[in-house]
Amino acid sequence: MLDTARRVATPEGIEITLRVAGPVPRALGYLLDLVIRIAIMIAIAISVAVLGRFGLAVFLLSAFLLEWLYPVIFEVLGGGATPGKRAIGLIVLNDDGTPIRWPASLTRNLLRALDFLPFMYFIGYCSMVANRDFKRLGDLAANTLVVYREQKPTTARIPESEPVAPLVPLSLSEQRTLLDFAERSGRITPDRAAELAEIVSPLASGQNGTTAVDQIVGIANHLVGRR
Amino acid sequence: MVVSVRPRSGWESLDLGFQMARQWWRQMWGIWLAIYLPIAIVAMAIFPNKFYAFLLLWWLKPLFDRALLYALSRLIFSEPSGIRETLRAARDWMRPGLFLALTLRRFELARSFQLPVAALEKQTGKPAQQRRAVLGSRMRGTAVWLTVICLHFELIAMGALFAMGNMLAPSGGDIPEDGGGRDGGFDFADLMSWNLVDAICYAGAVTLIEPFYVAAGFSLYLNRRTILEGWDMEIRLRQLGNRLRSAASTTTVALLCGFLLIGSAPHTSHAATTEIDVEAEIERILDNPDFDQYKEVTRWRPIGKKKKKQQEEEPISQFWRNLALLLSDISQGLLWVAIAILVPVLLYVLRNFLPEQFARKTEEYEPPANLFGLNVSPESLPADVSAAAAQLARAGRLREALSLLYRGALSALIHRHRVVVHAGDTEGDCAEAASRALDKPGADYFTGLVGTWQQLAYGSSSPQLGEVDALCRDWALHFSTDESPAEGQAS
Repeated sequence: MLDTARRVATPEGIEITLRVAGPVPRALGYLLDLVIRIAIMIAIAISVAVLGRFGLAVFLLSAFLLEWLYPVIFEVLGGGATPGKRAIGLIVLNDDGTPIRWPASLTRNLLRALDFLPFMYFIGYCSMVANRDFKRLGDLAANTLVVYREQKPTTARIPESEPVAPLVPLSLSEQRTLLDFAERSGRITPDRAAELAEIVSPLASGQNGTTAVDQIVGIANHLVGRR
Repeated sequence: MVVSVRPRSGWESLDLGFQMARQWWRQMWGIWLAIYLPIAIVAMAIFPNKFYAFLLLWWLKPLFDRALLYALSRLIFSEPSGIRETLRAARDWMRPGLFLALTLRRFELARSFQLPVAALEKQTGKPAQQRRAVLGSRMRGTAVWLTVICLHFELIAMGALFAMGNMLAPSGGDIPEDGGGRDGGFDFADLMSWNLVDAICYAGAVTLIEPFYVAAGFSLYLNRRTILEGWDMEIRLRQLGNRLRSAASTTTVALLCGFLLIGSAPHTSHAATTEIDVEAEIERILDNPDFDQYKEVTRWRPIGKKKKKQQEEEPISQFWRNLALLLSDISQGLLWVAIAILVPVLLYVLRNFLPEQFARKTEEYEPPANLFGLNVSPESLPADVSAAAAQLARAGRLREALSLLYRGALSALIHRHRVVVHAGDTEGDCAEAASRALDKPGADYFTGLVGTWQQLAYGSSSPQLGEVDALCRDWALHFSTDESPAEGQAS
């Protein structure tokens, strides 16, 4: 199965899913960061302009630090994401899903110099699209992943109806499927919902059309405990 | 399906597309090179200014994309789709909508996202438009971003290939010139005249990026349909349904029939075509808290006028001049094409409006010897037609008399008045032609003669002897070969 989700088991034996992020959202995140950095540099240049040659020194030093440390500081102290990544919904993690620390962050960001070659991250791009986890060279060296931040889990909105007990015992994943269906049945066309419900007609005691949909939604109501 | 389908965010589905292109890189780049490379080589060989080669290759992108999409759409169902299969199915993936894709829809910003509507669903016209609207109601923004970002990837790849060439060139910075080329590095002012190296860098960059672009757009399309139609749920529900059916010991025939029906159904019906009260339904859906979102937006707006920009710099103006030259070149070419198309069309259209004699003079017109089975050549007629006819009429042979008058009149029309009569024309056509060639009384006479002849020949109703006599007398007035018709009348 081709997928962008990676399953990682924590030492506690919990399996978490990391959804790795590809070149397009990452490029957008980088672009935002670039704009922010340039804005900061312009602000510094304006404010130190009166200081003459000393001002120039301050500007060059801060430009150097900004260029190299901006991502590191945000990634380690800012919850794994620079402002650009945060805006797109990305976060940097270690391969095992743990938060990133100084050595890893420094490694992946100092290697930007290599990824940047020969022009605007071309090597980084090639490395990303050739790798199943979208890792650029810096990520490969530091064993880091750029993944999508988990959304706040939304509460399932299952339309309320008369709960119906299923006629046969259902496994966990099957229950999950029926709940999914009940939740999304309102967002697909009624015809298509009926078509889907008829696939599991034995559960709907052989009924067809909208009655089958209602039946499945009833079972879902039973499964979430509205009895 | 070998791709994991579930409702994803827009960005995530783009990522899945990139993974798809990576997974099947052999097929993707094989097909791409098999189609793109020959065309690129030809284009570069034809145009001295390689910028036109670039334009052509750029313009034809939707064509190449279709081949990739065709292969992808089969690969996700693990059907064989190598280079050979894809090229063999070219007729399949080129239609429909290729012409529109290469003209009006070439500048569509969500191109790869909307490509499957025409290329895979085979929809055209209004249904296709509605389909695009439904698909694009969400995630169109992501598709547009995909295009924008991939465009930049292309530019970056092109610059990178160029820079790489520069770095590796032994001369230490300069690419050896080829003909009218220029030294290494991008020269903004020279943007409109490319050399071979530029064009090769462009083709290389597109080759690197385009398969990812197509796959990402396709993946976004799949995701949109997954959300709209619940494909992932269908797969899981089917597993559940199969388990339930095999578990049930009393699988009735009815259930089996239902299963078979469902098995064949899902490809055909997903559109919402119910006859519910639409207004009430919209109200009900909009009442859902999902739609209950308000946002307060504060924006800065400029009040004063902007200052005029400073005078443009030298290379910029050169750029514009080059651009103008290029546009004039292209529009000139287009004009010639337009003329080449318009002139024949115009000639063809005008041909029907030309006056008849004009249009047909070109053909060698030869008066027919026979009309309606009657011999109308002058040699077959007596010298004095009207006298001969009158004699026949007096002998009671009215039919022969009328026939003689009619033949004589036709012969006179054809040979003396140069009226064009074809072998296929009817009596009515002749009368009409005669009315144009003769004066008013002559035309009236001929019409009357034709009418009487038709009555006799086809209606079998004999005219009065006096009527025929009058026709015989008047014939000489209008058709006599003599200079003095009065004399003919007297005899």
